[in-house]
This record gives sequence, C-alpha cells and structure tokens, in this order.
Amino acid sequence: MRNYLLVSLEHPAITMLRVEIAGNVVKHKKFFNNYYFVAHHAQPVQIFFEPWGIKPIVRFNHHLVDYSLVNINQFDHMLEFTCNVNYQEEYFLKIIEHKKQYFALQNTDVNLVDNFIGVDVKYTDLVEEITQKLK
Amino acid sequence: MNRALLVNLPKTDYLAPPAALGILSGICKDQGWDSNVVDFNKILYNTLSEEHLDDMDNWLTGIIDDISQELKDEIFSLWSEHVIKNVSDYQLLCISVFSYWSLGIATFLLEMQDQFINRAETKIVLGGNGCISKIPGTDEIFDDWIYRTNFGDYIVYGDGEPGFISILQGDYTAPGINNKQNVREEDLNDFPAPDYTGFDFKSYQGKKVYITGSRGCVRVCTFCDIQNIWPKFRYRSAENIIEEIKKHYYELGVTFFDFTDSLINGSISNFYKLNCLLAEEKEKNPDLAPISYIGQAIVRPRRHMPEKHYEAMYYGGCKQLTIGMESFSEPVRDHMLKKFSNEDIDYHIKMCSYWNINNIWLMITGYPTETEQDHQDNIDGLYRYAKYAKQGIIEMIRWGTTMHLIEDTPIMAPEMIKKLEIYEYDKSKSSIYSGTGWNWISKKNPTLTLKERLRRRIELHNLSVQLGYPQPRVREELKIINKLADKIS
Repeated sequence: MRNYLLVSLEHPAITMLRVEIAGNVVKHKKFFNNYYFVAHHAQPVQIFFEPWGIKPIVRFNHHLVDYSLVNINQFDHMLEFTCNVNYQEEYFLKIIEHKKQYFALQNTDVNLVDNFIGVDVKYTDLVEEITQKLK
Repeated sequence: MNRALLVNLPKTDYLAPPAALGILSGICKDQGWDSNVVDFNKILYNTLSEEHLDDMDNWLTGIIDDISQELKDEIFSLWSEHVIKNVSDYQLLCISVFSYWSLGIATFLLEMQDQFINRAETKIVLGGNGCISKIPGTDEIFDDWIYRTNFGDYIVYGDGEPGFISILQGDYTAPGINNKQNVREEDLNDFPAPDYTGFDFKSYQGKKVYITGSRGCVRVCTFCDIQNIWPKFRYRSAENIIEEIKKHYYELGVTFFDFTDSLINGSISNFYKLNCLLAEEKEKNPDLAPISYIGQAIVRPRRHMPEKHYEAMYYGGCKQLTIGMESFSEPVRDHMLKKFSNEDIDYHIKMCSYWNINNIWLMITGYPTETEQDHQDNIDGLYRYAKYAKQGIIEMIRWGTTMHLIEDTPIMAPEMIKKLEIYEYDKSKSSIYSGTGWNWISKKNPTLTLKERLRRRIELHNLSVQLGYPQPRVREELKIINKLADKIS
C-alpha cells in the first residue's frame, strides 16, 4: 500500500502557491488550474496561497475531500493538515456520524438509521432465519 | 370562491411535500381557485403504530392480501377526520393515486366514503399512474373499476396539468379527462409552476421540494414501465427550471431540490446548460450559493459526458445521483438495454469522486438471464468499487428484493416471455398475487429458481455489509425476502 497521498489544489484565482511539509518548502507541479504535490503519511502540511480568502478545492488521490472530514484547518492565507494515507476510514465514519446527528436533531423515528443511513444493517438473526429456509 | 381539497394517498415517501399536491396547488392558484392540501400518507405515518404501518406497507405492496378490520377502521377514521369532515366546503375532492401500490387503500377509501359525500356538491377527481394499473389481486384496471362502481367522477390521464386546468375551467370533456385514448402531451414549459406555500415543512424530514425537469426516458429498459406512463421524452428548458428554483427559494427559503425525473441527464446538452446557468446564477447572486439538488441519472460514456459536464454539476450544486446500475455484469445489462459498459462505470465513478458527487446505486438481483458468472461479476464489482463506498461517493447501494416481473414492462411482453420461456412456477404456492411475478422461472436459465435468487441476494447482502457499503431499508427488504423464502420451504 502506498505510504503517500497525491494532494492537489484547484482554484482559478490562485496567483501564488507555496507548499511546506514539516517546515520544508516542496516543489509542486501545475497542470491547468491544478497544483500537485506528494505528502507522506503523518507529515504536517502547510499550503500558503494568494490571493487570501479563497477556498481551493483539495483532492487526495483525485478524490475531492471535505475540509472538515479530513481535518484541514482553513485560514485566510493557508491550509494546514497532517497527511493520513488511511484517511478514508475516518472519512467514512465521520460522514455516518454527521448523518446520525442530523437525523437526531430532527428528532425523528428510530428507523432512520436503517431507512436513510444504511449502516448497522447486518441483521444476523433475520439473515440466519432466511438462510435456514434456503437449505 | 371555488375550492379544491387536494389529497395524497400512500405509498410515497415522507421526506418532503408530495410533488403531485404541489403541482395541483400551483394550478389552482393559477386558475384562481382556493385549495387546501392533505398529505394523507404523512398523516398515517405520524399516527399509526409501527406494527400497523408495517402491515399497511405489506398490504399495499402485495406481500399480504389484507389487513385487520381494526387497522381498516383506524385508517377510515383518520380519513373521516381529515377529508370527509369538511369536504362539503369544497367543489372538488382531488385524490392523487401515485402507483399501483396506492390502489388497495384507494379502492377501500373510495368505497367507504361514498355514503358520506354529497356528490352533487363535491366532485371526485382522480389522477396519477395508479389509475391505469391493475388492482392487486384482480384483473381489473383501476379506471375501469371507477367507471363500473361510480366511486369517482373524473379521471385525468397523461399529463395532469392540462386535464386538471380544463376541470377547473369547467370543461369536463377536454382531452385526457375520462378518456385514456386521447391524452395531451404538451410543452412542459407551459405549465404553471408548482406551489408549496400550503405545506408545513417542519413536519417533513428535510426542507426540500420536488421539482420536475423532464418526463419520460431515453432508454427502454426491459424491467421498467415508464414508457407506458410517458411514451415520449420531454424536458423543460434550463431557464424554465431555474425560474422555478428561484421561485421556491425566494418564497419559501428552500435550497434543496429533488428532481422527480426518470433521469436528469436525458438531454445531455440541456442538463449541461442547466448546471452552467445555475453556477452563473450563484456567482451573480451569492445568496443562491446554498442551492443544491439531487436526482436520478444514467451512466453515460466519456464521449457523451466529458469531464466538463461533471465540473458543471459540481458548480451547479449537484450533490447526489441515483443511478440504475442494475448489475455489474455487462451481458445482463446488455439484455436489459442499459447501454453502458463496465468502462463507462469506471469513468463515471472516477469523475464523481473527482468532483465529490455522491451516488446511490440501484441494483437488481436475479434478472432472468443472470448466470452464476453474472452473479460472480456482481461480487467482483462490490470488491472493485468498495473504495468509493469508503469515500462516501457510493453513498448507498440497494439490492432490492430480487427480480420480480411487473406486468406491462418489456420483459413481460409475449415475445420476451416466449423467448426466455418464463412461467410462474407454482401459483398455488404463492400468496404473492399474480401480477407481481415473484415466483417465476425461465426454462432458458432453469437453475435460477426463486431459491437461488434469494441465496444470491443474501450473499450480496452479507458481502456488502462486510465491505462497508451502506444499504438503506434493508430491514424492510429482508422481511420481504423472509416471506418469499416461506414460499419455497
């Protein structure tokens, strides 16, 4: 398994970009409006940009990620995060957690997790009952 | 002033105000009629116990043949309270009969209410696809039943809008009224915009509005009956759709829209234009920035939907696409006439990951031509796309309750039945009424019995759980599968 992430930034207004990993400036490559660089697992990443106040699209391995779900700290002039090559596990769990919170806020019925989120649906007993009938 | 009472019957979802009532409300407003809405589907959901809701659902979907008298009494009591009690204040009682799943309750209520309604004062208008469907457990179509029993006055066929407008104008002999042979298919851009101001959005799960961009479909998938409802694919202009979106935003503060279209990318050029215009509107008016939408779509090859189309979807606010993927086997999809390859799926999901557009994949287990290898292709597909489930891009996958054969779909056409040598395995053993076709077998694929279909379905369920694919409404599906398993025990 790869121990690095291919990180890309996209925003039409970017006029300056500087990437620092563990305090060291690293080279990035630009293709069209996308800026690419590689970060290894557990490395702290800081991305400085101009103009200030923009919100670039960030992708990990060509997957457009939500800032909060991958713990990107957003400032007017930079983004910072710690590279996690296994981000997808936590990403998925956070999505589910946020969905559960959303429906709990709505104070609707207990079947919501099954109906609208679709996790915790092993239903071992029911599956076993069906399996026995199919023998 | 003329008044219409607009009512929605189950079985529809509880997420948002029903589109039919919004459309009828908009027409009433346009024609100078006063109207009130009763979402009877939601009333039942809020009032019935979980057990009674389950029973009603199973009855409406044909899993059980009838419900208890106690439940019938409760349903009719609610109908009396919310509909019959004040119906004399209205010149029209308009009932939306969404699908054949509505017919059990429709026939029950129409018959029960007849003695309580003065039909000289209040006319009963019915519409919706359920009107042209067979009543479960019978060979009679609902409209014929209405004409025979006289429990309704007018049935509106085809596009509801022109027929309903004619009724409000007092023209009861216009095309599409009580005459299914003479329906109008008009320009969708000409219809009045739906109106949802009469709804309490707090009583629904989310503040969203259904919106229709097109009717009909550009495919003729073998298992689907949409061609019977809308033979021709018609769509609204992108500008017309955006005007409605802005209307609902400025009137109601709604920012989330759910397209009712069979597919939002039926006209690729119009869909691209819609997204581009939405993005431009958001740029011009930053208060429109939160506007987003979801809808159903088909997988298109790269040459038809290049990357810029997905980019436009992202900036236009597309959050989720429901895709009729059906099978990861190309031979099965070819037989279904889906017209996309495995390479197209790979391209589509990569683009969705690149632009963070979530997918819900709808699948069918046990299509009549599905071999063991095709089933293995489904298993392989689950492994192949598992990483997208982790990303949340495949937000959910639905495997359904195994292939059931619905009348008036292309696969039930005589030539197809003959070609595949399909027959109902043993009618005497199935309490699932004929017409839903659960317990069928194809002599061309004789090992694909109901037992085998259920086995494959359970295997796919277990693997989906193991690989972390969210699967909604699984409890409901497994309960149906459990009942189907009784038929082979």
